[in-house]
Amino acid sequence: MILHPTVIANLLAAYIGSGMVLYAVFYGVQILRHWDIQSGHELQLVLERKTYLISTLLSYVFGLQLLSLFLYIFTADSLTPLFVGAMCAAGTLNVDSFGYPTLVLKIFNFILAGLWLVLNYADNQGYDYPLIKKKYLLLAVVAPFILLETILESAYFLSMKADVITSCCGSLFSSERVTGIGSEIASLPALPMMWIFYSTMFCTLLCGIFFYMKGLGGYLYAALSLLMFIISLVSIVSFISLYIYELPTHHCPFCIIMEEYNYIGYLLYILLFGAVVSGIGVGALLPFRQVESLQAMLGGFIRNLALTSVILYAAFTAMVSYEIVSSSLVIAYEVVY
Amino acid sequence: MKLFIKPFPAYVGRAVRALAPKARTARPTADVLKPEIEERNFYRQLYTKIILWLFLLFSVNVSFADEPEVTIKKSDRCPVCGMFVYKYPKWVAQIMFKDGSYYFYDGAKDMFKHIFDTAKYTPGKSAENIKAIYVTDYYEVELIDAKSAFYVLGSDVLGPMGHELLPFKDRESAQEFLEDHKGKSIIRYQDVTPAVIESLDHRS
Repeated sequence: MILHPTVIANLLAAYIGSGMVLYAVFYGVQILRHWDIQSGHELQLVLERKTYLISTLLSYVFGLQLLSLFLYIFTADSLTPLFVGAMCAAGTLNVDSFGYPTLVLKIFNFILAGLWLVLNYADNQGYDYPLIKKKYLLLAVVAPFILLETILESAYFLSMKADVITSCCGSLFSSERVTGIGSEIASLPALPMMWIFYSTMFCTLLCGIFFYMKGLGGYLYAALSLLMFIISLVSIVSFISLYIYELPTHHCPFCIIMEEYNYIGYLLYILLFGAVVSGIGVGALLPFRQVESLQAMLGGFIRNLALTSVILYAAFTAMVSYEIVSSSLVIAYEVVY
Repeated sequence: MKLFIKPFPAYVGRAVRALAPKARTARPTADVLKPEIEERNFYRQLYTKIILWLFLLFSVNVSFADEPEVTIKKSDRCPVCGMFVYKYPKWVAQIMFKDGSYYFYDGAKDMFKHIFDTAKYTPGKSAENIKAIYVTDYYEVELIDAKSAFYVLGSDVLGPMGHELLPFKDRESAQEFLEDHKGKSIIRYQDVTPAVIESLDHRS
């Protein structure tokens, strides 16, 4: 283990979050089993009072969960000088076999936590706890992943050893290596990928605006925004990074968060993650439009979510296009490795 | 490191002119010409200082005259791995192309990778157009010609990119390093092949 302030912050955040989630799940399960709004039973009254505590508590925990993804990346980036061969977060995450699984889980949990926050917000708008069972069901689904993440994250930080020679992102995300998802994405040809990115983004934005105006095609937008999220992540490795670094062979998705690149990566990732959470949130809330106590506000809230998602995706595309236009790198033909 | 001498500033010329004719005139009485003497002393001191500075500049310039120009900017990155080179000044290697462009590397290993596959990392350039290659001597920490350097393989000293070729300007220092740091062999520039570089990357 390496006693670095950021490592301690990460682990502390993970343990506090997991502890709170465990506590919430304990009552969540009781709510799932015994909740009955019509009953005046003592347990029901206790649960009704507890749900306020728990939903407030979870709002903070999941808010922390959203932040912890960026804290994790920041930590990996700031530990770089300690490992031979690492030049950015990519190398640090590769120090032991728990680094990347933790990251994947963190991204997954980020989306789930974001969805829970959206659901919780909608639930709090109705006077009769309209979505209470749904949101605690979602909590029961999220909780194991959060616990697993904590275990993996602890394993990652605890088994870190400073004398390991790790791989630099230049080799992790290069087309030379035969194996590894990083190099597979990196070897995708840049120009076709660019076409796919821009055309899908165009469709997504169009669909989002159409839903905002007419209120139709919400599920399609939710699906498209998830697809767009994945395509954007692949695009960052495949061609966006090339333009930011202005190097024809450098595909790393982590170096862009460094100071030398004006922390542009954080901005790109915040836009992207915000866009996907609000986009999927649209799909998650659509089935509850007819719930009586929510009818008045839910439609407007869903449309605002869609608008937020569209604006964030548009900002992401604008950022990327600016980087491409202002870059001195020119990708011609298929000279991309 | 290349330093260049600026053209003489205007006051140097003035100082010389002020000194030269007056040195030959007869010494006037002190009282009348006191200001002039003071002025002359001032210029004399200035003159001495200038000569001293010129001498210093000249001596520095001579000793570094044949060295490559090392001005690593904060934005310079290794074209092979993308690392910022300014963070690892002890490991810098450099290639200068005939068209005036130059690249820095965070170790001799990446430099050789670029030489072996120039078009891949810098499309449109080829290894034939390389004008000069430099590596940093591990003991002296100064740039030396890569082709005349001695490289130690297999030592326990790691560079920013892991196992490295450690460059030395002469065989004695390379041998000394090999003995001190459990090195395995000393090779010359022409002995470095893609296979050697590959083996460095695959040592665990």
